[in-house]
Amino acid sequence: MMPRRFDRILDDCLLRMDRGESLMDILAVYPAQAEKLKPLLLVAMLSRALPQPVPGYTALRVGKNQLLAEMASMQAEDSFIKPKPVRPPREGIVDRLARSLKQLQPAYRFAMLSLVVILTGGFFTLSASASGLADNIMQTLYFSFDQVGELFQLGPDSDKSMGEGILFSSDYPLPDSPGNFPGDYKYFLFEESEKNEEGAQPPGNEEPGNQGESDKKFNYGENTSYGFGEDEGQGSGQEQNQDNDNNSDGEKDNDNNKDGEKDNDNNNDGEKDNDNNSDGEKDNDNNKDGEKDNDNNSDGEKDNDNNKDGDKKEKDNNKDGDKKDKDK
Amino acid sequence: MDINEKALLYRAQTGDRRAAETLYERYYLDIYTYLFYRVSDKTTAEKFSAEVFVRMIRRLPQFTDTKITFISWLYDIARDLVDEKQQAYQPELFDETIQGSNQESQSKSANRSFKLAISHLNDQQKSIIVHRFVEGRSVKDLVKITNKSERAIQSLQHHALKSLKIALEREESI
Repeated sequence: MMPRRFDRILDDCLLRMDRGESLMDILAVYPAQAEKLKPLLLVAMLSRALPQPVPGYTALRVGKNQLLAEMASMQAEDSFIKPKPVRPPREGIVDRLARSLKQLQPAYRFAMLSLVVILTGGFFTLSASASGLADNIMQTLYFSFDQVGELFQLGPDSDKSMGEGILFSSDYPLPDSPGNFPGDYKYFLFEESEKNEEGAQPPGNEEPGNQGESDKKFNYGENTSYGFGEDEGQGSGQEQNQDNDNNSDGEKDNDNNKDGEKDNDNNNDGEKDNDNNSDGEKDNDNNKDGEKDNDNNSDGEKDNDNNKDGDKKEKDNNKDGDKKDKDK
Repeated sequence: MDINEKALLYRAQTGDRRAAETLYERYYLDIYTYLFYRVSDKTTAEKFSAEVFVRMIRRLPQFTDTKITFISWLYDIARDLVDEKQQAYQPELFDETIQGSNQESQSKSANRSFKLAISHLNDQQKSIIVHRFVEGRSVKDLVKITNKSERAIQSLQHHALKSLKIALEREESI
């Protein structure tokens, strides 16, 4: 048997003895080594049976006194370790800043606080302007001013246009809106029901037969842009600018086309059209309603003007770099 | 070494009397038992025990527990002390100072034989017999005290028991 293995067996037997097992039980576990194990375990049992020596009380006291006397002599020689000074707990950044502010003179303190307030305010202003909320507010304000300006330009027929309602909505989807693109601003006019029955085109995919059923008809100006925001570069005049003007009602059209674009003017009523198109646009003018159209389109926009509503005179002075107007 | 003992040692190192007293009370019996079975004399063991703690307090500022535990360091001091003074003293072997000396004569005779036998062992074997069987320490405790591996302790206790058995047989034959 390997001696190392026997060491382990002996140790296991001693552990069993510590747990209170009898010698016979322990030897029964290792019957092959019982002969060798027995004398060693007997010696171990004899050693454990030895009484613990107990020191005298006097000796204990004398020993302690000697120890304390030695300590006193060492303290006199300053031989002990000097205790490390206890550090106060570290103060935080806020505490340090507050302490620094207290140490400053009042003028400097005020200047510091003002600087902090200005920086904080600037940060919040920048954050607000970067967010979409600020855009909405600014755009709404701009539209409001624009529409107020339009109201003053209506002229003598403004009493008819007073029935028109202007509604801007970016937050609430329109119930029957065909071009209900999220985030897109809708510009629509709801008109008197009798006007729609006369010849208004249905918006979107609605069939013409269903138009007369509703009391009010909505004319949506889809993708209406107001000179800022998306696709602002279209106002350069290089794009194809298309005007669709279905003039069929004896009106006068003034179209100043000077830019080589294609104009489709289905003027069926012997009217006078003045089309000064000077920007390379394409104009489709199906004017069938006897109105007079003055369209001075000089900004490269696309105009779809399906004017069928019996208005006498419409002025579209679109010079502000908008992208596309659909006036249904 | 637990955190309380570390704190206690640090306080004693800085000259705290109360901490030094606590260390003395905690380890005196272990050192005394070890010395008693090393020198086989109660009075000498008491004298040596006091001397061990005086040496402890002198060397305590230099003690670091990175390499050795405190109890092991204390046993080293006791062993060095015995080695130093071995030539100087004449042990009065197995006097009647051990508790149980008033027991039966048979038991006295067994104790005397055992102490005579243990005196024939070398220092390592004596230490193992005292720590493992007299003090009743486990092998893991001995690993900490002696800074030896568990396997070495198992082998050492095997040889110590074998030597003690031979010594006992010799003493009984005498």
